[in-house]
Amino acid sequence: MQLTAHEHSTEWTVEGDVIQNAVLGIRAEPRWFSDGSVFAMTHHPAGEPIGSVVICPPTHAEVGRNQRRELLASWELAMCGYTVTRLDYRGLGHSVGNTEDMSFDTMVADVLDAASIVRPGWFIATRAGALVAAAAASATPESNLVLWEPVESGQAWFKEVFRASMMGALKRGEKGLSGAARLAEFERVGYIDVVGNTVGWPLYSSLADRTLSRELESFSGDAALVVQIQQKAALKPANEAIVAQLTRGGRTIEALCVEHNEPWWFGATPRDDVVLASVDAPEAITATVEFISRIGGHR
Amino acid sequence: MTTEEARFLDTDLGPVFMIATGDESATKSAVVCSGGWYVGSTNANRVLIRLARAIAGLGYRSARFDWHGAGQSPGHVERFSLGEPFGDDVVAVAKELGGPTTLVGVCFGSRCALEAAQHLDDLEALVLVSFPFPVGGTRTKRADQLGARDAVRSAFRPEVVKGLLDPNARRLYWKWVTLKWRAVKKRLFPSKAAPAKRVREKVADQTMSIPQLVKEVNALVQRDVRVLFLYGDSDGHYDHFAESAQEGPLAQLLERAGDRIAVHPVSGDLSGFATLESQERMISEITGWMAPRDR
Repeated sequence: MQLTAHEHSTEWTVEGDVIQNAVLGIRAEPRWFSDGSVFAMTHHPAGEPIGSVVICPPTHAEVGRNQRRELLASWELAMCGYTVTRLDYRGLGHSVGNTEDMSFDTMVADVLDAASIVRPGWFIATRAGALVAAAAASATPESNLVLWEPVESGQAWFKEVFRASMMGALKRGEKGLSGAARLAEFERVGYIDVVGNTVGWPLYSSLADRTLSRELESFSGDAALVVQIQQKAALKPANEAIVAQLTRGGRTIEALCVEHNEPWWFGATPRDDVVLASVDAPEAITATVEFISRIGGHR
Repeated sequence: MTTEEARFLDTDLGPVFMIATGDESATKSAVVCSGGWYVGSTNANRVLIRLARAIAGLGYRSARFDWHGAGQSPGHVERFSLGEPFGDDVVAVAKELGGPTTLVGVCFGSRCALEAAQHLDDLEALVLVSFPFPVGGTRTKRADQLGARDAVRSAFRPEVVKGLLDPNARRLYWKWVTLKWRAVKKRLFPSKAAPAKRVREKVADQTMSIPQLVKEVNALVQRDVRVLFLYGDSDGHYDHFAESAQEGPLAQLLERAGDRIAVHPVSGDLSGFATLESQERMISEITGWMAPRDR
């Protein structure tokens, strides 16, 4: 696989609302699910698809950090014969709705609605999207999972969110609230400003008490890949626990450490002294495509 | 439910992904241009989607799009340079929408919008948000251009120290000190990395000169195009803009243009949209400025 070469491909042509690349043998089609509420982009292989994949992105500021990685993964998987659909949850990206109104339940509903149409054999999910995908996969028999830097629980994710919020407040010269006072204010106002991102109370109240482990209890697939993207050579205990939980009954469960420090909530400051790369941690894509191609996943 | 139309558009640099919003029969159009550095058309917290939808609410057919090589658009971009704006992407989207057009650009997008403006015959208005203003020719030297002694003297001026009670001033002060520290460090420990240096040299004159900016904006004013400069008062470029607007060619242009050029500074930082408040302010300023033309 030559990610860079594929990204450099200039063989794209526009036909109607879609684009296609004759050299890579794929085409991309924008579409809307849930009565036009949920925006998605579907990448199709040239011939008859051998399987279908749904990508559950992360949320808020993390979306931008992962979008290009998801796009390149879509191309690579489409080149291997899969139809890949990446959606924006209602309230995020191009989908309709207000960000402060989104909740864990609306996210799962959006994914299941798309899944009922594209019938995925795989879900690829990142960060808090992992909890969404775990819930969706549990409701979609025989579907498998690839989790990129999954958050272990809603609490763990919100801990990072609150930390980012506090750092944003300090940067603005404000003190910022913490602990119970912050939660009370969050509930009263209905949202908080996390370095310029709207995080709503409905998301907190529906996600905070969930854990990845519990969402995976009903998982009936037979393969999963956990990709940790951190500046660590070994799996962190939470990911080890997820791998241990999934490893039973002849399943193929694998894990990979991609040593990269992704600033999920703080966009990289453009620097004028480096040539920028459009995607970091490409190993996550390579490993995912290799794993899905090896296991298969026809539905 | 949605009235949005998502599609790809052919441009000279490859397909560009765009979403048009609003009434297809609208007689006016608006193109919203995002920032650079792989920021998609949503920008932070989908602020530009909210802006595009708010503009559509004024009766325009508006569109947002991903730069080629970013977001959903295929292609590859190695670096975003203010000296090499992607005007072609903007022109293609504007021509697709047709009608008298308003271009709205943010940061790198504003540089691209200005570039595209020269090539659109039916341009009605141009909104430049946090336009990367040239630093050359201003009276005040940047921290990294001051000598060490002058920098220390400036840093400890009584009025400066007194001003640190203000959180915004503190933030700018810290930025200023960091800039100076980097310049000192660079001088003491020069980098030996040749490729990085080569890029840096290219980047040094990325921003357009003030005379060039004045010439291009003046040409638009002559065509009766309305121009809005919108800055947050904490934006890195605002100080340079405000100072240049006091005297010299820019000041003369602003004087000559009268109400065809508006300058709206708002409180906060519009270059990174680091707060919800600054996002709302931007949307409200732009829609407020665009709305009267429809009344």
